[in-house]
Amino acid sequence: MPIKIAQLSRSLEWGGATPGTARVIDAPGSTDLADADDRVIVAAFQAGHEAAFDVIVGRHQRHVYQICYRFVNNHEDAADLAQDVFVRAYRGLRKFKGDAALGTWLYRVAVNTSLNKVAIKRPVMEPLDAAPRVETRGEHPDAALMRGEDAVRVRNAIKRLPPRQRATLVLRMYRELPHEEIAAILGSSVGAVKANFFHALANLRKQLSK
Amino acid sequence: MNDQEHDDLIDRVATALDVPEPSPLFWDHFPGRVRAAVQAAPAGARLGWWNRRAVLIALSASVAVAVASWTYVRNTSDTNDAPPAVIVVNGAPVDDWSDLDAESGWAIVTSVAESAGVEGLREAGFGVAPGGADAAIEDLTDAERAELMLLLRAEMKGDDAGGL
Repeated sequence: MPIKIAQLSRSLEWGGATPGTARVIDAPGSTDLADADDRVIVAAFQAGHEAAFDVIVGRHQRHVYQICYRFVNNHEDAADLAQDVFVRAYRGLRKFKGDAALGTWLYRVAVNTSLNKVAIKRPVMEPLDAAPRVETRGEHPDAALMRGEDAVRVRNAIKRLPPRQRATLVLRMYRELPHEEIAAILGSSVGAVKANFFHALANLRKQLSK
Repeated sequence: MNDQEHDDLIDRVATALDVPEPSPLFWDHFPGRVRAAVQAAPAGARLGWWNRRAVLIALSASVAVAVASWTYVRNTSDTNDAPPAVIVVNGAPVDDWSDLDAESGWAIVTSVAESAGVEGLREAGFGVAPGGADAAIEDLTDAERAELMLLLRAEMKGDDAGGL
């Protein structure tokens, strides 16, 4: 059932809206929450609308899953991780002050959860004869196979990177996030992000040339 | 690493980190899966700060009651185990009063006690109420008063030796 802004406004008034949410109360009363801005949805959740969290999950599940996948390289673990990320987000969202965008905050939770997961689990290296998971792009099967094997080699090399370098590389390659956003997600400086990315590539190159 | 090598490596990493798209059904079911996980999470993990504070207060109160009970029981036990005070005093009399006599506080008490008569003290409002615990002092024999004096002196001297 869609939640209307008008309903949200009433609940915020009952819950004692903070100055930051006053904008929500003044919002037009015809827009579905599903179309609302992330800040409005967060305010709705913080005001007690559990259903608002479903909207957040639906909106960000793909990005969170894709980040998690890049750390674990298989669907089952990525799905479990993404679920864990949203459970953590559910617990933390009531204290979310909106200093960063919701997406940035969720990426941060996703990266931290993924790093914790890979830190406690000994990295499992993929065998080179694992089924290649690359698009054939209409190329010759041998070429596709070689590309698949190379992808396995690169993924194994990425698994050996130090956590910060690995996280930086994943985020940088993911939708080509700018250094500033990666810094916000990792809670570090832009300079540190650039340095980590540089070292990650240098380490990868060294490992792949062996 | 020159630009060409850099670009090649970026390409290889991008291919390696390529994420296959899961089934559309996965996305349909995922919010429900998250909801179930949130509901199945341990209740403690979903406590609000006020509930955590309530738990802490309750826990602190329990600890305080436990400590108070333990202290009370220990003290009661010590009192019960201790031999009667008179016996202790008789068995181990305080034998050195010289430093007590040198106490200026004790000297004042002594001088006041020596100069004040019972009638005078009563007129001054230090009378003993009938039925009061301190009325028992008036009923003590001379020997018992002497014993009491020894006890009081020992107490004032700060000598709790021997389990008085």
